[in-house]
Amino acid sequence: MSIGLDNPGLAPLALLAGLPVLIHLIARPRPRLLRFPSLMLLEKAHRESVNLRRPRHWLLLILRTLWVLLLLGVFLQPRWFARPQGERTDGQRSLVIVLDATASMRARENGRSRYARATAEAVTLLRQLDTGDKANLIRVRAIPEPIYTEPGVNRDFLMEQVRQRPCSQEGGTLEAAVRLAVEQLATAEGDRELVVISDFQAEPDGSPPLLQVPEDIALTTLPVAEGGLPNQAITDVQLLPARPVRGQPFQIQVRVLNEAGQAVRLPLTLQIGSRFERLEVSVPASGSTLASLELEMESEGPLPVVASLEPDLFPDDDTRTCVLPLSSDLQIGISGSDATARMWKRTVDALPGVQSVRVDTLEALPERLDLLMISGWKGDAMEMLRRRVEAEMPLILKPAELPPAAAEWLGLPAGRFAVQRMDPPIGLRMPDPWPAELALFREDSYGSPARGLVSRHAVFPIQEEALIPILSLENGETVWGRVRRVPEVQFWNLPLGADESDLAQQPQWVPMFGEALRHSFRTSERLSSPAGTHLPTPLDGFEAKGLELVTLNQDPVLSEKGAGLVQSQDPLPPGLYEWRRGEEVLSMHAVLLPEAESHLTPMVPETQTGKELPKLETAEGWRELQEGIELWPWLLAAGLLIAAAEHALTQRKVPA
Amino acid sequence: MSLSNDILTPALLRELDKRRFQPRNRVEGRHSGRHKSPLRGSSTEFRDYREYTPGDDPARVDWRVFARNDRHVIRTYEQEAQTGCVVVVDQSASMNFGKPETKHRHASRLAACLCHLVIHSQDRAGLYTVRGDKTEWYPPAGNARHLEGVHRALASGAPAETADLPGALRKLQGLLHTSSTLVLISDFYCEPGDLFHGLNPFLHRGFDVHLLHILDPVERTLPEDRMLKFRDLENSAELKTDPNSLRTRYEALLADHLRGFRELSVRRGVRHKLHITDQPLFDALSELVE
Repeated sequence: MSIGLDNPGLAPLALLAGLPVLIHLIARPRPRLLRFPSLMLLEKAHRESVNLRRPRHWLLLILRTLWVLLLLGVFLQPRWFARPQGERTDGQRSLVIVLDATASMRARENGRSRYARATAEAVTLLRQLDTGDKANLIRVRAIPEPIYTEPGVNRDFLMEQVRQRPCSQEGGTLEAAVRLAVEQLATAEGDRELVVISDFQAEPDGSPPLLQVPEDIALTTLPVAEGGLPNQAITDVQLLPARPVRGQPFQIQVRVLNEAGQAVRLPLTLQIGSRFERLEVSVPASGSTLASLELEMESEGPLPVVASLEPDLFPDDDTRTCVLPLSSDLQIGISGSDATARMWKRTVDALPGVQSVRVDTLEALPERLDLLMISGWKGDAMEMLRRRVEAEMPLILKPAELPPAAAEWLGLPAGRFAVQRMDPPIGLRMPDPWPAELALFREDSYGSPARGLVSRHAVFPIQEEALIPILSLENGETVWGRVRRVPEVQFWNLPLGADESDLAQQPQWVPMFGEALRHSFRTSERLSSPAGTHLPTPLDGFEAKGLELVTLNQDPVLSEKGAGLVQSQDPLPPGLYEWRRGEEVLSMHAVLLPEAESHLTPMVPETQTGKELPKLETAEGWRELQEGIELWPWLLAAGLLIAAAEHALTQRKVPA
Repeated sequence: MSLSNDILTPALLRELDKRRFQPRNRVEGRHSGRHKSPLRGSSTEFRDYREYTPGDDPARVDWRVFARNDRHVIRTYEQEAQTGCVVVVDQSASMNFGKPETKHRHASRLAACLCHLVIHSQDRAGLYTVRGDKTEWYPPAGNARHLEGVHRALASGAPAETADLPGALRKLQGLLHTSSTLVLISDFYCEPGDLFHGLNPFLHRGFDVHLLHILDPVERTLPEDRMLKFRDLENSAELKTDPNSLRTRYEALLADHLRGFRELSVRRGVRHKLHITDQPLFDALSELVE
């Protein structure tokens, strides 16, 4: 904020502020001498009253000085600007409005949505522009959506677009839209203005929105949220394990959020295929609860899961979907011929619902493989493995050596690794914190997973932070852990030969290995995507002929009009979709509302400088922000008040 | 009589001729006079009867009463004694204040009037002036020469220094042998308790004590000036202040000061009279003169 003067030429008159002091000094009365009989009583009265009169005199002097200053202020005609005034040009102005069109703006407050108020404010802003001013509008969505590629003079078109385009059901960050606005303004001429109209909800990481703008662009915020809504939402639906197998128990975990100030009890409905389940969920005030339902399904294939709450003021997040990819068994590929690979195969074959597949050559992997375990890997078929890992196939690697490319992919040291014999053998221990993969063993009901001795293993100079440990040697060296850079890949340096370790001979080995395999699968991103992204087609080119995308209610969304349909053209709203060709369901896909959109509590945006941003209550105040607010009437009123106070003070007798 | 004329103008003398000194209490004197004494005496004015006791003069037995009642009673008569009045005048520097007449001048005229009236009432008047730690003592007498001396002393006395009234009273105590009327004329800038401590011996001996509290009108209300430098007449201490801002508090403190004297006076049977110098002179003497 800053103050400007309409009559700066009168500023030297500020010296007159010293006038009351001068008058006080000059007009001090020269006291007459009076010989008085006795000062006995007079001194006593003086002592008692001086403590009251001295502050009163100072107050009078201050009031009179202030009065002169205020009077001068009236003549200087100051104006108050909510932000620092740089070198303003009186000519052209370029305005970019960043209009938040993310899903949270669909929340309704006082009978209308935040987006409806935001569009009305944007139109009011555009109306206040003068002829010749340029403007543009960027809608905040998953990908920022500018109306023009650069600010233009056709404001009517902008207003029409603002009114016509609905609010999206996508997430998005203000930061990206502001960055685009700054880029557009960088080449604009005249005064550059940026107004951000948003509910200023927290960023996905929970931090306040950060608006980074160069100093030569005047940034103003216009919050449209009137306060936090007592929103209840389903923010996550997860499967545990992520790849359930037909006939084996699994859990559907639903996270329910409550932004209200008091705890609530909510009915939660779960639809799994044609099966309905109803749960009562207690959610603490301003917190969340993880509701869990254990199921065992005999059917196979992808099943839709729909979790829903009763609708509230923001119904978009009261329903959330997920695809349940039930399979008959898990296909686990095992490559390698050493003792460790053999032990892996024996263990996998002993597990129910799991089938081992021998992989002789890594270049020719079977099409369906849920997990691959490679013992003695030397970096072969790295690109193929990389693609499969990216397609959500977990990989357990026991490398014999790591070529530079593989080392760079995994963030591990390159080289051939020597085998070290340890005499006496060294024991195992559980890392701290306890790995999530072996959470079942934490209570020690099934025996410690760290039982056993290791007498031989390869020496890897791995830095601690490269791995998320699952099992360690007693000396702290991680022998089994997730690769931090590629969490789908697990690093294995635990030889299972009879002369190498006795881990596989321990009674807890089979359940421990089975539990770890169950948890090797991470949440399937292949089957879901956030709203605002384009759905990939399961087929392309010639094979895509006859492909169509339908909703769960079989309403068509897109259909192939000829060869070449590659992906859906427009971002889809949250829900479940099926790719079909005729009667055949090729795949099922869940489009999800980003979790951050459920947090409707507004926050105060921050800047890189930490300064408080100018904030408008309504767009009507924008003109005042530009031209400043005349302060002289306020100064005059304050001066009158001070004059009245001074008069009252001088008239009032000092209490005896 | 030239000096006395400075204090007592012909007009005042004419006023004095119309008045006479009349003490409030019975007086105890060694000489016969016109005032009733607390003692029984030998005047012609009957007072009352009392039982005869051995030692009484048998000639004073009322035989008529004996004839009627068969009781020996003695007739007693009023003792008429000549009384004394001692005037104590404060001549401290604080009394040298006031316009057109200073408090000292006013007090001197009061004292002169009182002495004049006492002596012209065939009684005896004494004067005791106090200035600093110096005192002047004119023992009570009842002749014209004494009165002239008293007038001269009053006219020539110049106020100075600080008067120690309680101390001066202690000195005076040894100079007076019979109880009489004691009149103190002062502005009494001292603590009431201290003054009454000095008066206690007189009160115990039955003196009829009068305090004439002299104040100037300006001293009561302070001047109207905005700012004044006050200088204490007694110790030259100075205080620069705005009397307007102090007036209310000063008046309250002065009222407290006077109330202190008044309350102690009532309790001890002393007559306290506040006299402002712009009031008629004889108002101050209303308790002593008729």
